[in-house]
Amino acid sequence: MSPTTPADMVYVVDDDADIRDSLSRLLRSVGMDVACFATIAAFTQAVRPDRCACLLLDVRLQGASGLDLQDQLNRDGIALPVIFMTGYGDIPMTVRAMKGGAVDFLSKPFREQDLLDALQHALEQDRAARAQRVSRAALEASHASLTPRERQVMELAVRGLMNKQIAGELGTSEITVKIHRGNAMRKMHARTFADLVRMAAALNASPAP
Amino acid sequence: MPQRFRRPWQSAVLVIFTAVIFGVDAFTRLDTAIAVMYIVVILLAASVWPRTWMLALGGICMLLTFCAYLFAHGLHVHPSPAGRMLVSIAAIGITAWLAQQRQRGIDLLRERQDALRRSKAFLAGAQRLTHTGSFGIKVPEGDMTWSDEAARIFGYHDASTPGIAPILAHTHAEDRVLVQAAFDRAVGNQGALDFEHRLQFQDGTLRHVHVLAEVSLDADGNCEYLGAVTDITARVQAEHDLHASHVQLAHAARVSMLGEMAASVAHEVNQPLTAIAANAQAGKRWLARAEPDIGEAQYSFDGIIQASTRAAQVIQRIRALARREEPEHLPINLNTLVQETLELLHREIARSGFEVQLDLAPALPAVYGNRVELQQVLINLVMNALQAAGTARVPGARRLDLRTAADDGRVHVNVRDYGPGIAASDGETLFTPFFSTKEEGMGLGLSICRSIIGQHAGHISAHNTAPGSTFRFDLPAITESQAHEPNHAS
Repeated sequence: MSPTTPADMVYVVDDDADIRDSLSRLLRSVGMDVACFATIAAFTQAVRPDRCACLLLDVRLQGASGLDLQDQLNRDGIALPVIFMTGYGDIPMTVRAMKGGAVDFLSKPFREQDLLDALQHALEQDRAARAQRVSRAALEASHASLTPRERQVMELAVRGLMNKQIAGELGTSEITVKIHRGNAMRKMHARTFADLVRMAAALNASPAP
Repeated sequence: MPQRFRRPWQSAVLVIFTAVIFGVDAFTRLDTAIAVMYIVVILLAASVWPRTWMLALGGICMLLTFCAYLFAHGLHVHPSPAGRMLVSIAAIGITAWLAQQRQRGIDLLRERQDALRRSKAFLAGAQRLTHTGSFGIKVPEGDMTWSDEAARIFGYHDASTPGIAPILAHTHAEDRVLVQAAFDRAVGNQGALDFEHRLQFQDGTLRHVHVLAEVSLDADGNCEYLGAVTDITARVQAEHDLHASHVQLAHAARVSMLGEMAASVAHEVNQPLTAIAANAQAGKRWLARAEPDIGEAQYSFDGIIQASTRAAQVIQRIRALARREEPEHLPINLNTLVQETLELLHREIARSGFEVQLDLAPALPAVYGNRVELQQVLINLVMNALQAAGTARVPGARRLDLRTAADDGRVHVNVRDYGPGIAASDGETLFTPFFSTKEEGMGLGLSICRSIIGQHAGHISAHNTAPGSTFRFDLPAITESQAHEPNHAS
């Protein structure tokens, strides 16, 4: 198991105090931060710091189902990897959880290694998602700093048009296009034209959650 | 009486004797009352012939006496022979009358003897058929008498050895004190006897008997206990078999019920196991650190202990339901049982999204019962309510009211759901075996509930209480006096 960074946070939602306490001890012993909640309401009302985290969720909770919480998180666009635990799982339940994007589905009692592997996997997923969100945010910020003309030039350039063709398209001179294109490259922090094409593709991709 | 005709030679002797007397009387001139000898003939006839014949013979003898006089003396009155003749006739008449009186007494006695013999035969037959023997105990001597059937029941084949010692010799060791005490009670004339005990014979056979006796006084004012002893082995055996099949059926239903509760059972067992495993790993890690954290490790071990205690309790609860054992009847607080049952079904209730309203009567009297079986009834009723209302799409249907109450020496438990209620057509058959409104239902749950509650001297019923239905059962509360008897069992 790879060492975890101290910033990793695991949220445990289980209505059983023995389970909460034991998981809290175990996860703290491997250097993770743990926050435990007995109910879905307590979890949703809690303030969650912006850090790499995942959710360890019991399927059957007092008064509600962990699957409902998963749906709610998906609906609210909260990207938090979920690992389900259950004392008694059936196939429809597992299918629903995995369709909802669960990282793993653990049957109680589970092996420590399975739990830690699942947590690692979930945290890495969150880390990657967070990194992606950060880079995309930077990209969008750079894109936003372009003037409308620079954006037009960039759009046409990445479609593969030559400067002369762009100038013709926009009804301007080839030299002006060159200047706009240079500005766009600089503002987008693109070292090569290939970088710029990749960035444009990323921006055109469906908006990130 | 016909048998007395089978004495032809005796009759012949009588006839000849009569003829001889007549001959002597008529043809000899003896100065004695020969005719008095007829008395002998009549007395002999009394023991040989029937009464009417004897009376007829008396008449004939009187007539012969008169004829002999006529023959010897004609129609002339000779004072002396006539006097003898009249005395003879009177003596014969009186003798005949007395003899017939005596014979009538004998006949009556014989008839009574006959009736008595028949009645004895009837009684012996009835005793054999009903396995009931009779006995008597003289007070205060303690001398016993018993009928053949009583002797047979007590394991003796002749009626000649009645007594408490032979009875005790064949009494089950555990019941000897009871039997001796009952005997002492009789000898001390301390009221009627009514008790059951067991007999145990050398070959290991066990026999159950029921003894009933009351004191009675004979004509001389002597006191005697007269009673009956019935061999109730067959009845006890039948009761035992019935009870055993009830226990088996209830157990089978419990096991199938555990299957229905599989989710709860698995969850209840796996929760503490998960906690134990996680705590153990945590403890290991805290200790394996470069600087071992003893405090955290200790907490982890405490967690293990706590969770394993809980696991043991869970398993004990489930085993109690799965085990088949002779139901022991103990005082039970139904409030506690209701709460424990809800704990056991906590998962099922939570999963179905039900809200439970508890209304437990304070200071509820205890009842005598078998905890596992009564819990089975409660689980059944709650699970039924969950299933009944769980299918309903009515808002507010996912509610369950559990109420306990006490009145008139009975403890009541009500389980109310807010589901679709009971269809009118199902009301009658609800508690009959193999009736089910559920697709996968065996239809044994409620019939077993009724059987269990019946065994506990209680009643169970179902009513529509719109919206939903209410299942009620009541059991007799333990009275103050029973509460002090440590070993009361049904």
